[in-house]
Amino acid sequence: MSSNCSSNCSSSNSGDVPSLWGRLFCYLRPYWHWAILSLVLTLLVTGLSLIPPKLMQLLLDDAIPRKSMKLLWQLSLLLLVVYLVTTIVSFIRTYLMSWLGQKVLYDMRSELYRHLQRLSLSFYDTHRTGQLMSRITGDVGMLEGFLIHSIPQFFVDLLTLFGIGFVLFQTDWKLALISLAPTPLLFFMTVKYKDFILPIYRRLRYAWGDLTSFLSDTLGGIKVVKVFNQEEHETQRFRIKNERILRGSLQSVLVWSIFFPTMGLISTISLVAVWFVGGKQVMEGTLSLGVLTMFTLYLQRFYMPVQNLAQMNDVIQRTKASAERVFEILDTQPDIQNAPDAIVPEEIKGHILMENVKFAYPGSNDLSLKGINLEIRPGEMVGIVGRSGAGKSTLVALIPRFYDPTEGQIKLDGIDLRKIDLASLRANIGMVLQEPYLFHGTVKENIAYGKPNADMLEIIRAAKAANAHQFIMEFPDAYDTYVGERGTKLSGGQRQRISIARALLRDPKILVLDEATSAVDSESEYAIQQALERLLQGRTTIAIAHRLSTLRKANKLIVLENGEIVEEGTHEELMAKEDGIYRRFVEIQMSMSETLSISNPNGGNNKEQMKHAASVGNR
Amino acid sequence: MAYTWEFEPDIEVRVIEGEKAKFLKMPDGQIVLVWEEQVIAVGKILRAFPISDPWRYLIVYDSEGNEVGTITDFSELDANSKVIVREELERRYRIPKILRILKIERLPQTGHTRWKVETDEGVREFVVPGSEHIYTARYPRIFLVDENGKRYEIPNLEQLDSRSKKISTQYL
Repeated sequence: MSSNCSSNCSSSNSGDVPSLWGRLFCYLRPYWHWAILSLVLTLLVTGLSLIPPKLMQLLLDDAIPRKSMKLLWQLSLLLLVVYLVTTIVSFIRTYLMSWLGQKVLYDMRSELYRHLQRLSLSFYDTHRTGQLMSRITGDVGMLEGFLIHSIPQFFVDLLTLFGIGFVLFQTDWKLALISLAPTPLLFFMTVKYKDFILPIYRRLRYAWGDLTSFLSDTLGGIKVVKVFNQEEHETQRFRIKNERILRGSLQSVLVWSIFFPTMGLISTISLVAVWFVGGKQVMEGTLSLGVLTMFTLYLQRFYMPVQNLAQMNDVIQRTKASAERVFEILDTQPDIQNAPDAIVPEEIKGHILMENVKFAYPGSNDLSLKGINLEIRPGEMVGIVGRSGAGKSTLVALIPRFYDPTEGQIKLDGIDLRKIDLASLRANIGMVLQEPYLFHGTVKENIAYGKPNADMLEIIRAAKAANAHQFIMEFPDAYDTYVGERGTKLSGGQRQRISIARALLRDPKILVLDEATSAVDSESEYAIQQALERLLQGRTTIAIAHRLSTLRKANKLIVLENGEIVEEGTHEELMAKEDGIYRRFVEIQMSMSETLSISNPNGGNNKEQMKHAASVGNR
Repeated sequence: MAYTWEFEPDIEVRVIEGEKAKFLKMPDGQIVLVWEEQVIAVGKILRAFPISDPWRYLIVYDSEGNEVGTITDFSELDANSKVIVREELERRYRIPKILRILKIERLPQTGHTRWKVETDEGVREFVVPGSEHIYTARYPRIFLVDENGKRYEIPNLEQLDSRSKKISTQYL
C-alpha cells in the first residue's frame, strides 16, 4: 500500500517530479475509493443540514396557517428522517474519515521511519534526533490532519456557503444582501486575527521548548545542582521562563477574548438588521414569518464556514511547511548505497588493506584522515593509539562503511569495500563501543539483537563467554530482566559485557573495539578484558584504547596524530623509540598508576591497575 | 612477566539431558542430582528465562554455588524428578498474586506508595519506593517490587474488580 507512494511519489529523483501537493495526495491513492466515499458522505451531511430551516419555513407558512395536520405530520416525519439519516451518515463518515486518517498516518510514519533507517550516518551528523522525532510525530500528524480533516471541511464550508447563499438570494435578494453584508468584514478580521495570534503562539511555542529543555537539563543534572548549592538559582531561572509562558498565554487569551465576541457582535448586527428589515416586511405583508425564521436559521449556520475558509490559507501554509520538512527527509538519498553489481562474498577471511585513505566529513574541507596505509592480516589485532581528535574513531568508522573514504580505498580480502554487498559486509563486522547502546527490552533480546533467531543455549553460551551470565542469573528475572531505557538499570560494566555477548553471538570475522574499557571501573575491566580476549580469538580486530592494557594482545600498534600514522610497530619496537609518542603514553600511564598506588597503598584496585599497566610494559 | 588472570570463571555450558539425570530428595530434605555417574548435592535451581520460558533452561547449582549445568527441558525429566524440581521452582519463584487492591496511599515525605492488598496468601501491606519499581512492560500483567525487594504480581490488571481498578488508577 504505502510502497506505491514511496516508489511513485516520494522520490524527487525520478525525473518526473510530482508537485508537493501531488505527492501529498498520493498517500490517499491506495484508499482513493474510500476517500471519495468519505467526501460524498461529507457533502451529503452538509446537504442534509440545509433542509431543517426550509422545513421550518414550510411549517410556519403552510402547515400552521392552513391548520393542516396532514402537512404537519409530513413535515415532522421528514424532519425526523432527515435527522435520522444525518446521524447514520455522520457515524459512517466519522468512522471512515478516522480510519482513513489512521491508515495515512500509519503509511507516512512507516515510510519515514524505513527511510530514516536507510540513511547514512552523515545524515544523523547534521540532524538532531529531537527534530527527527518531531517530524515523525508532529509534521506527519499535520499532514494527516490536512488530508483527512481540512480538505473535506473545505468542501463542506464551500458547499454550505454556496448552498445558503443560493437559498437566501433565491428567496429574497434584498434581505440576502443585508444578511450577508458583514461577510467581507468577517473574512478580513479572521485573516487579521491570524496576524495577531500567530506571533504570540510562536513565542509561546519557543518558550515551552525552552522550558522543556531547561527541565530536562536541571532535573537530569539534579546532583550537580545540589552539590553546587544552586537550588535557589535554578528556581529563579525557572521563574523567569515560567513567567514568559504566563505572559504569552495571557496575551493569547486577551486576543481571542476580544476577537471572538467581536466576530459574534458583527454577525449579530446582521441578524439584528434581518430582524428589523424582515420584521417590517412581515408587518407590511411582503414577507412571510416562515421565510424570516428560515433566514435567521440559515444565518446562524453561515458565519462559521466564513471563518473556516478565512483560516484555510493559514492551514495550507502550515501544511506546506510540514510537507516540505517530511519530503526533505524522504528525498535525502543515503550516501552509502549498495553498488548495482555488489558482490556477496562466500566467505570473509578478514584481510583489511587501507591504501592512501583520505577522509573529510561531509560539509568539511579539513581532512580527518590524511593518507592512511595499513594492512591487517586475517586474525591479527591492530591497536590504535592517539590523542582525542587524532582520527581514531573516524578510521574505524570506515570499515563498516558508515562513511566512504574521500580518496583512496579500503579492501577486504582484496575487494574494494564499495563493491561488497553492504548487508553481508556488516554481517561480518562486530563493534563494541565505549558507551554500549542497549535497547529498551530484556537482557535476552539485547544479546540476541544481531541474531534474533538465536537458540537460548547460544544466548547463554555468549553471555558466559562475555562474563555476563553470572550477574544476569543474580537478577530475579535473569535473562528476562528489562534493562530499562538504554540499559540504565545496569552498571556500565554490565552493559559492556552484554554488548560483548551480543557481538560474540553474531560471531563476526572482523571486530572493532572503540574504547571498550574506557568507561568502566577497574574491577569490571578485568571481567571485560577476559571477555574481550575470548571475543578476539580468530578474528581480525581493530582496537582503539586509551587504557593501553587493552592492547596488550595486539600484533601491531599504530599511533595516529592529526589524521596520520606517525608510529607503527610492535610494543617493543615502539618502546625502543627514545622520544616516541607511544612510549610517552605508556610512561604517563605507568606514573599515574604509581601515583594512585602511593596515594592509597592498601587499595586493592589500584594495585591491580599497577599490575595491569606493568603487564604492558613487561610483556 | 606474563600476565595471569586472578580468576577464571566457568564459561562452559553443560547440558543436563533430562533422560540421563535423576533428582532425588534425601530424608533431611537435601536434593541431589545423579548425573554422569556423579551424585551432586543441589544448592538451588534457577530459571534462565523465568517469564518467557519458565519450564526450560533450568540452571542447576551445587551446594557451594557452582553451576552444574542446564536442564534444557523440564518435560524430559522422569516423573519423580519432575515433582522434586517443580516443588523447588515453585518454592523459589512463588510470587504472591494480588487479587484485590484495598488501599493505596502516598507517603508525604518520600513520595513512596503504601499498598494494602489481598493476595492469594492473605492480606499484605508493603511500600513501593517509586514508579520504577512498578513493572508494566508486560501489561496487563504487572509486577510490583517492595522496598525489601519482595515481588508481587497482578496477573491481569484489567480483570481486577472495579473498586481495585478505581483505587489504582492514579498509581498504575
